[in-house]
Amino acid sequence: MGRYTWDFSVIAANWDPLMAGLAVTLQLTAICAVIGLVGGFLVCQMVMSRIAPLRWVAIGFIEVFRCTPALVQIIWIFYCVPFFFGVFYDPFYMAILALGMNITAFNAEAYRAAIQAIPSSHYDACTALGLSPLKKTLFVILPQAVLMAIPVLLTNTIGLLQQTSLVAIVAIADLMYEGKTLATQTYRPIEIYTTVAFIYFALSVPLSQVVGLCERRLRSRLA
Amino acid sequence: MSSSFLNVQGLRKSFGGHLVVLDDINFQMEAGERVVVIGPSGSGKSTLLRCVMGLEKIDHGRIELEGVRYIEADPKSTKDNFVNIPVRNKVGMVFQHYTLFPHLTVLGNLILAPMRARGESRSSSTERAMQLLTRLGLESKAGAFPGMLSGGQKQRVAIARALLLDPKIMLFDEVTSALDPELVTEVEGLMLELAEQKMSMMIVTHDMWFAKRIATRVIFSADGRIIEDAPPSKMFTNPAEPRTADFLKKVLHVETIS
Repeated sequence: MGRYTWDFSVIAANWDPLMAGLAVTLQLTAICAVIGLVGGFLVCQMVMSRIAPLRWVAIGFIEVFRCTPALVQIIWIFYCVPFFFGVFYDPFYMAILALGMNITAFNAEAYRAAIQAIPSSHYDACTALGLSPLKKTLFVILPQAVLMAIPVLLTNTIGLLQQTSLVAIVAIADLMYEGKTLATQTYRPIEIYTTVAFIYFALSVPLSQVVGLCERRLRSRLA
Repeated sequence: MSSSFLNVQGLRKSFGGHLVVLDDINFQMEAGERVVVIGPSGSGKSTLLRCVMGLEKIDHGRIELEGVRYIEADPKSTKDNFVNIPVRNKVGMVFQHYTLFPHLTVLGNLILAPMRARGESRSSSTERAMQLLTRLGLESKAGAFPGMLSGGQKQRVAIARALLLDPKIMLFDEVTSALDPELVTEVEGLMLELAEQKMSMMIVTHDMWFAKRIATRVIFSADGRIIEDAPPSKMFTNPAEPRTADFLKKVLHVETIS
């Protein structure tokens, strides 16, 4: 350690591939985050449905994706979807499929917890005000659930950003993959992995600050 | 059919088929009457109001408003009760825990149902809501979120929210029970104002002095039955039933109030 000579010039020299990798990472995160926000609410509605088969499917989906490692999900989908369904898409889409379903499962639970936290008296109040079940869901339950779920949804999204680094395993040229490639090419893994780690950190810290801010604002508002 | 304004016939309500909370309740009231329901905890007072509002599935009986049946149990079926929703919507209710929606402002809470359930325009409902808030001295709170209000203000907003739908009858379920004592008066004051305007009301309360002040009729219920039904002057000074006298003695720590 003491005799190691740091040389960060390797970063400057390879700035472009790192930034290209970062762009892929951000794309993956953004697309899967949107899938998770919408998909999570739909799966949550299925979990809370009166129709038993819908519930079973949704609960099975959530448990599969919560109870297996994301890395295994990515590799499994990468190898097994082509095998079982005879289709092969670009690995980027396979990664979106895997990570999108993963965050959908976690977000579904966040929405469910938020909906269940709404006092039952609010449902009574909706009936007393003559709101139909659809209007009740749209104007009373959904907005409250989204507001209350925001901190957990954002936390899940930070987790998603970190998890995108796993797609390097199936040769998608994200930030982690570019870092790994450069590390082997330049024999400077220390500098490169330190930089890569710093970039993930620098992206996540503002997001986690936003989570804290949201929690404080929600606490004062929904008191 | 009955000529009564509100007519509850043979109402039975149980939870899980075993725990009978209301047992064969028959009850009529005329428009403009203010009926206060008193009785020990678990006597079914709140459940009676919730049944009239259509919040509970009843096992047996029917409820009519202005001669029109709007809730009826089908004893042969385990399915939901028959409900005539347009008639049920003429009943308004205020709850113990305000139940204001925290994601909406005071004004947002008031105009939600007129706009979304009645199809009234935003401008018209806003105008009516602001008039009502002004009358209640709450116009400065229109843009505030419920979390920023005192308990008394919240409950008055909740009453205003129900009033904006022009109910034929208002149900008040222990609306001052969650309030700090010094905030009770502002809510009770508003209810007394409504009484002066001849609003028909059913009120569940533990406050016997308020009951005596606002009621035109008092009902004492226990074990899911109506034990005594009398004007307040009679109920609080010379109750006919020993159980009523016992109950009043316990809650008032005196024989009668006058």
